[in-house]
This record gives sequence, C-alpha cells and structure tokens, in this order.
Amino acid sequence: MQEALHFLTVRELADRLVTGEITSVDLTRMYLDRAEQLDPPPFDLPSEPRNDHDGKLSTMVTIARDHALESAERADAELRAGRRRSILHGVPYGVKDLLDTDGIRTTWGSGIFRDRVPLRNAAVIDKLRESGAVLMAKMSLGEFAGGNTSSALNPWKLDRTSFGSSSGTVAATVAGLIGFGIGTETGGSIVFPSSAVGASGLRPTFSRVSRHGCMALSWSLDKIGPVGRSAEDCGYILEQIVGYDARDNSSTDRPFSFRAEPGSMRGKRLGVHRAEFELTQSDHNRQVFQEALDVWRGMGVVVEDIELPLYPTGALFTTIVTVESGTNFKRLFDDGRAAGMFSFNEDRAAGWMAGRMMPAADYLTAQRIRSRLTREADEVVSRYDAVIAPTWPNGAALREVSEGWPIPARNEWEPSDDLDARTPRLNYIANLVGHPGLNVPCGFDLDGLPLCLQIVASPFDDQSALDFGMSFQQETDWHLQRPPYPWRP
Amino acid sequence: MTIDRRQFTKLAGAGAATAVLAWQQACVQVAETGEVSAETVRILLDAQGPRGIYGEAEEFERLRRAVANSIQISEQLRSFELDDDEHPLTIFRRG
Repeated sequence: MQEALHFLTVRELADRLVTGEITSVDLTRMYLDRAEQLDPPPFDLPSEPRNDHDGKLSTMVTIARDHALESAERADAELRAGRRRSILHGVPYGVKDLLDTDGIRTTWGSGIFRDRVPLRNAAVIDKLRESGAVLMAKMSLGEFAGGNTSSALNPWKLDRTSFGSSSGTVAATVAGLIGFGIGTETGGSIVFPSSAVGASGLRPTFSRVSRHGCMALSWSLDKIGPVGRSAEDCGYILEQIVGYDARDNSSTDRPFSFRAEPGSMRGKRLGVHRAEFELTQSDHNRQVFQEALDVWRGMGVVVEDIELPLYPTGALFTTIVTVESGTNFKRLFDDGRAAGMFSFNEDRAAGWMAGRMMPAADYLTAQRIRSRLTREADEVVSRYDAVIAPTWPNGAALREVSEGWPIPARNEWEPSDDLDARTPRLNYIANLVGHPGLNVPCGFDLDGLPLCLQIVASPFDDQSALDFGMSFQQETDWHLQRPPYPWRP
Repeated sequence: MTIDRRQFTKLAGAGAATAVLAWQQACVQVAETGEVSAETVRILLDAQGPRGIYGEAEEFERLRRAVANSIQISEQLRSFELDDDEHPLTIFRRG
C-alpha cells in the first residue's frame, strides 16, 4: 500500500521535492491544511492539561502559516535555480516552543510568556533555515519543559499520556502533521514522549548541538535533538543542526557526518541492561522486547547482559536541576510572575526556590558524584557498540485529569533514589553523563500502544546508536505503523 | 547612609553566615522532626531577596515542604563516599 504523503520520511519527501514531483509550497500547504483541519487548538495554548479537547491532540501552540509559505516559496525558487541546500530543503518542520523564533511567539509552554515574541532565532532555527527547512509551527510542551505536564494528547489513544516535555513535537510527527520535529531533553524529554507515541527520537551527545536561544532548564544537562518517522530521519536532521557555537559554553567542535547505511551488523556488540526488561508487569510486553533483541541477534550482533553502576541518580538529578533552574528563573520569583505558573507546577516552582537556597557545597558534591559516574558509565558503555533497555517498560499510562485540579498521569518513572539493581537507570545515567540515546518503536502492548527501546552509545558516537536503529528498522515495520484517524478516544 | 568597604564586607559576611547557619539549622530540624520550621525557612528565604509569591501563606507552606525535601536529598549525596581527589564536573570552556 502506498504511504500517504504526510506520513513519508524526510528522505522520501526530499526525493519527491528534488524530482519536482511535489513543490515545497504544495507540501507545506498540505501540512498546514491538515494541521488546521485535524488539530486546531481546542482552547488557548499554552494551557494546563484539560479534558475538553474535542478530539484534538493540541500539538501546536502557534501555526506560522504565512512564515511557512514564504519560506516554502523561497525553497522552491532555489530548487528551480538548481540550489539545494541539504536533504531538508523544502521540508516543513515543527519545533518545541522552547526555542526562540524571530517574530514568532515563543511561550516556553507558559501562560506567563503567552505574548513573548523574540527578535532573534535560536542557533538551531538558524541552522535549519540555512539547510532550507521550512519552519511551520511551534509545538506544545509542558510548562518550562516540565516532564509529564503537557496538554498534547497521544494519537494512539486520546485517554493516554503523550508524556513530556516534547509531547507536541512527537505527537505531531507520528500523526503526520509535520515533516519532522525538534525537541529538547534534560532528563528524558525527547525519548520518553517518543516512546509514548512510537516516534523515532534522538537525544544527541551533550554539547553537539548549540542551546543558544533555547530556554535553559539546566545548563549542564539540556540537549536539543531531532524527532522523525525513522532513525534515518534523525541522522539527516542531526547532521544539519550540529556544530560549534561560541555562544554556548558547552558547545564542542566535533564534526558529525551522517552515514545513512548502517552496513553489516555482524560481530557488533549490544549490551542489554536486563534488569530494566524485567520491570514490565506484562508477559506480552516482555516478549515484545525479547523479540526485538532477537532481530539484532539474527543479524549476527553479539547480545550480552550488562550491569550498570549503582548511583543515587534521582538525588543527583533533583539537586542539579533545582539549583540550576532556581538560579536561572530567579527573576520570576523576585518580581512575582511565578504566581502565574500553572497549578501543576506549584511544587516544582517551590523546588526551584529551595534549590536556590542549597549551599554551593551540596551542588558541587552532586557534580563530584556525577564526575565519578561519568567515568564508570563511559567504561561500561565503551565495551559495546551500544547499550539498550526499554525506554519505558509499558505502554503509555492513562492521562488522569481530575476536575478542579488537573494532574497529568503520575510519572511513575521519576528518577528513583532506590539503589536496588532493578531501578530503571539507563536513561538517567545516559542523561547525567551526556551519552546519545535513540528511541525506536519495537511493538505494541495489548491496548495497541507503542512499546519502544532506547539505544545508548558512547559520547560522540551518535552514529552507532543510529546504526542499530536503522538496521532494526530495515528488518521491521513498527516505525511504519500509523495511528488510525479519527484518533481512538 | 554610605558604608565603606570594610563595613560592607562585614555585613555581607554576616548575611552569608546567617544563611549558612540557617541551612545547618534546617538540616538539624529535618533530622529530628522531618520538617523545617517556618522561622528557619523565612531566614533562608529573606537571604534570597524579595519574598515574592512566598509572602503568601499557602505558597510558603509549599516552600517549607520543598526545603525539607531538598535537605533529605542533600543528605543522600553527602553520605555518598568519594575519594578526596574526585573533582566536580564543572564545564568551563574557552574558544
């Protein structure tokens, strides 16, 4: 069966653009019309999580129709003149509403900044513009990149969470409302929502992508990365957004040249953090994850169980994020604007203020522990071409919004302080030490919700994570499954 | 009123010392009762500048719980054994 245009991958869209089968204006108009028909915001965004969605996903805070069509016309003119900037040339995308866009409002997901219109582009937006990509929409998120607090729903089942915080970006990608997306991650905000909706999402190595012009939640943890309908898409997008930027102190000058063909996987080594495979409550889910590992075994990959170091990842995360956020958002507290934060974020705001009070010695202790963790985790991961665990042990949880006190589904996977070996750790360790991680769908649970794996590689070996993802997607079609419309209630 | 540098240093040092002592006091209170007293939190809060939203009773209570939680988390990290030569992971890169 021929795939509908809106569900094509970046490479497939690029092929059609370069042959003239479609124009960027036609493609952009198609996505804009589809977004405006299927997903007009049912209430003013940004918003608290609500019940009255009227069957809409609420993936987009702002649809930049005029800007998108102008960019598409420019892309077409360049193509006609024989100038193709990159594989992304003419492809419409959506970006999490945390990155500044010149002349287009950027709200950080908060009502406080509902009318904030920056006069500059984030570094990533400029890079994508130079690549010829077409900025089409600003995507919804949890306020101030808060975890599981977004208003965006899950296209596979509207009563389920799309997690967060890059939920609008991933949900729209999977629903075929944008060509690709850009998300951000501090502790799981690309891979977790990607897992909830079955997107291919990449958290690049820390410092590969400039954060200039992106709201800072944690200077020492924040990453920006691509979301697509395939692992290959993520590689193409990453190649266009990497690069040194003097405006980001953590930025490094490490070239990344994407290789779209994974090559033979025979003899490659995959470390399996088995303890996390046992966290699911479902035999069916366990079997799905096991069968995914068997796909790589069938390619001749050496699959071995591993142990990860035991560290108080939850305490490390909370300390680092609250101190850095509390420092960064000081003005919100001083001038009283913090009173305008959504109700689900009141405890989070108090945590930031408490973080500001914490003595410097405690923050530095956290960073000393993190330093040792980095050494040990690097050593474990370096023995393998990649390390793997379920991104999430079960399908997306129910989205619980009770009357009068909207609370999204409880985040049962907040980093745990439990040092027991069964604690899910790969994601939080990888985020603390800056390892790249790729989410790939690998099946469905008994409710028809996606199940996914996270593939983690050594720092700056993003290609290796992509190789495992691409080889898996060459053998399976889980990433080609589309949520049926109308979306299930 | 103007103050000279010596007086400023003395005052600033006293302010910082007050905050440090208040945090230590809060740690003792959490160890003994699991909570931090309102008075201690108020000293910590005032050391940060304007009280802002935490001038309201409900928000202040939320903050009081958050401070206790932060201290419990800090205790986990303080009790983690580290070699003396373990440096913090701070990033300072130029050019």
